[in-house]
Amino acid sequence: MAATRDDFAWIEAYLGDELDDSERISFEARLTQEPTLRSAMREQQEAIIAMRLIEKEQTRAQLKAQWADLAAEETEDTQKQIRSFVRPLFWGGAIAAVLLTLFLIFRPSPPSTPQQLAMAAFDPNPPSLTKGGDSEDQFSQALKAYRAEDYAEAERLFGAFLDTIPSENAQFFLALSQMAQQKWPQATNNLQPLSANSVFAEEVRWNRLLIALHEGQTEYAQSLIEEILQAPRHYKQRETQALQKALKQLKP
Amino acid sequence: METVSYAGLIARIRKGESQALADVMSDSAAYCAKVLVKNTGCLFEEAQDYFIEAVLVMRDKILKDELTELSSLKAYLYRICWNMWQEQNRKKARLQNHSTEIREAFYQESQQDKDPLVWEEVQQQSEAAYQQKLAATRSALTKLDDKCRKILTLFYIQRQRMKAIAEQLKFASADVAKTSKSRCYKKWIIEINQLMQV
Repeated sequence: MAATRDDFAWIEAYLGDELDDSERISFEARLTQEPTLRSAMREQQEAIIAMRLIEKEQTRAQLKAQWADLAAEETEDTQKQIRSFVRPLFWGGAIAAVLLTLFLIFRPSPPSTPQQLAMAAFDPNPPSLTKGGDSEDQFSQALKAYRAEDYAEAERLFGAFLDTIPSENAQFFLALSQMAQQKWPQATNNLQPLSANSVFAEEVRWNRLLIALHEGQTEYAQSLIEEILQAPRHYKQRETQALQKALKQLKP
Repeated sequence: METVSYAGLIARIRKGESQALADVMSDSAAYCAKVLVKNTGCLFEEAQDYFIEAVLVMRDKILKDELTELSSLKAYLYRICWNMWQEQNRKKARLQNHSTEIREAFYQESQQDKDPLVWEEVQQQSEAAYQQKLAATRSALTKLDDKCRKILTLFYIQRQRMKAIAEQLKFASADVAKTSKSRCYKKWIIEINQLMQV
């Protein structure tokens, strides 16, 4: 529906937010009473919306092209990161497994309770498992505190970060910070929501096993041990076998 | 981008500097996508789309003066991504098919307007009618000269004031720019109407 010459200018001014309050109120009153005017206004409004959608589509295409360039750089960086991360992790894991086995075999006074076994096996995960942002980010500051083994500060910072952004990374390391301070119920609360389909599922199972041992939940601990031993290539399988063996020896 | 001055970044986005969005990409794209993939289990390609939409949402808010300062660009964009992912999941649960994509895009886009489209009104027109509107608008824009396209873009997309447009496009005054904008606008709308009648 074509608008009159005068109405055309009114619609343009209305849609361009160029009317003062009294003009706008009187024009809006006309819109409610004149379906033809309203229909013309909607047509022009839809043209402006279409222009915005078209421009967004063009910007989207530009951003996607930039993303492709970034992704190429990123792949190279990630490969470097993986190389520098996996090697120490592999050797670190191997050394830790050997040390734990040696500890369990040659310990001067063997742990006499499941709690002591749990504490002996607790080893806070390296924070290199995450990919944090810049050093000024709250998350990175929390990781710094965690790396420095200042677990109380790490707990505070991860908690504050989680108040603003939901993050499995932050939640997992918050729980580990609490475990390191022997805050078992709080750590359980933070690990619990991560259990199902989490990227940290394996780590969560292992740490929940340690908490269960510490809290004297023997049956639950046994079920977790079985789950870990049945999981293909669980990262703590060897340690779990050692724990299971040690637990059997504890039984009267 | 070595260091980010968010006030500077916001000002550059407000001016419509395309490099400003490229800087946002360099700063936050990889971080947001990785964290979103990790936290939601979505595909990397989906995270990429969420991030690009988040950048567009942020730009809209800056252009409408709803976002004037930022303490963390990454955190802000990630939160938008996260909200969009949640909204998308809710929508997936609600809707079985997406046969109204263009209509819905018009409807969603209008929600930032003073007098947003009403969904019942939108539904009275077919998806094809909205496809046609989009095509006619695109075609009518290509028929305008560069200066007309620029002035309409600065006014309706960048939401700049006539004074700023006059300075940028070297008009003698804001009034001259306004007259020019009205002339271009009318030409454009008439062209769209003609294309829609064909």
